[in-house]
Amino acid sequence: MQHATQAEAAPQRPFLRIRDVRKNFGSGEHRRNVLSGVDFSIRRGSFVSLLGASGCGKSTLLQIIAGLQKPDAGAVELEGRQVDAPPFQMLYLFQQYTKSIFPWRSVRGNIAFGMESRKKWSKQEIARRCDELIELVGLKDYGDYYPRQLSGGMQQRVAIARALACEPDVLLMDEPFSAVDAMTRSSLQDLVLRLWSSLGLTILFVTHDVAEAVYLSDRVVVLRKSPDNVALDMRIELPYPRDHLLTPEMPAFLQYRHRLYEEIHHAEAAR
Amino acid sequence: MKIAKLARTRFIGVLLIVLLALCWELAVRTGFSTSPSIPPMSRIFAEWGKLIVSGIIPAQLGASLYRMFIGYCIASALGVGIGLLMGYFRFVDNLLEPLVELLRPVPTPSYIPIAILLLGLGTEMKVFLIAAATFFPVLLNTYSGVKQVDPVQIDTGRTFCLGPAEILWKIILPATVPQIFTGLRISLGIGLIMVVISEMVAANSGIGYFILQAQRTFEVSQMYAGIFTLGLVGYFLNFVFVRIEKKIVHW
Repeated sequence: MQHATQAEAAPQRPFLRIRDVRKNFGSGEHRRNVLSGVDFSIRRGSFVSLLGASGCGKSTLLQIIAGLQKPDAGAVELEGRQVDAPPFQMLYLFQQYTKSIFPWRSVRGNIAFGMESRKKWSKQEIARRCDELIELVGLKDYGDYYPRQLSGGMQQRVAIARALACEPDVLLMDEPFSAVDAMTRSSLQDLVLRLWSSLGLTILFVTHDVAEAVYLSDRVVVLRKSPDNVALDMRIELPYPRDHLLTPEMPAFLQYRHRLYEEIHHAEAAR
Repeated sequence: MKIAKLARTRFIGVLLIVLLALCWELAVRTGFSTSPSIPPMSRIFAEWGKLIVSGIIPAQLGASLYRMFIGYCIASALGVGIGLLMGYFRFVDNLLEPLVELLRPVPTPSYIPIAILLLGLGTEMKVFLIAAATFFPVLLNTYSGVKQVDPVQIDTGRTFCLGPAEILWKIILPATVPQIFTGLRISLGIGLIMVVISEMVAANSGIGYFILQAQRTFEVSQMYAGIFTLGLVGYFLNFVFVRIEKKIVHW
């Protein structure tokens, strides 16, 4: 494939740098090597999918990037500064959004959660921003609802709004749509794409769905089991805005999908 | 038809109580029971009514509830606070867990002699005993509640850059509220038990004192009236508690 590239042409200081990250789980006999020297950089404003079969360590990698887990060796650098704890500019969206949003807080209360602890906004500003975000993620009229009254897709919208409320530069999304139905998934995908381009976000998106990775990203990194985790690093040069009818019908889309599917299948077979 | 319908409601349970009271009444009236220690139900009720109207039972009850309330509040605050810290901070857990496990199995009434020696016969002794008895259910339920908080919720706090104190206050505490209420509800019953015991040991007021005093002066009907009052109070306290719990734990 002509679009498959190794690393990007190195700028002076990459926006987000994953430098030789290594991670083992367990100890002694049960010691398992999960990540062995993962190394790549991400440009500001890109939409990168980490694609891989389950158990390849992609969620672990994302948690390390988020500062939620520590690597055994190597480092993550955001704008040149090493990530030791979750940084302000970066927010992690959990796969288990039903657990991540707080049942004792209303939609509005959940969205306000992150803002409350950053002494950046006054009470009135928080209330106003909540309204804006509720509107932005399409939850108008649901501000006073509690999570148990919402569908899975709506709960995920709350989680997204709560993250965006803190004005992050980077969103780290761990299989965010794996638990919602296909219809909801496509509308959430379009929501994320719209927010990504309008807010100038950088998004790292973990998924095991090849078509989802191609549809969303401008770059896909295929991960496989350790050692040599990065199997393929590929640009997706499909035009934005993407469309659920048109984009998947493009020949290039099918080629990308074909190539990535092969790669994953190959990685699976080699296990 | 009608009875079948009634059987599906709480009414049937109330009916059972009435029926049992009637049996009691009949057993005494027909001479089936001749013990002077078992007065007819009607006399107990008449006595109870008089004691309510004259203000004797309300006064005694007030004294008991006051002691119970203070001891229960102290124990609840300590139980929730220490339970949260023990559940969240490994160090506090390591520090206090052995002590808690050592003290917890000790039946509180066994402290009565020490409490009397150290605190005398007054309110302090009773409050201490009530607090000691109600502390552990609150502590243990809070502790296990913290342990059950989903790691995803804590990590959510971390990704939003919350410090440990903020995570404890804004995530762990609300997430643990349902279990805290379970502990508080258990302790409420235990508090009532302990206030009566402490008043039977040494007191000149309170419903426990009243019951014991009635027995000693052969006012058998008054004795039963006191016990009946405790049943009502226990039921009422639990009723109010469950209402409050539903209001606070609404999710």
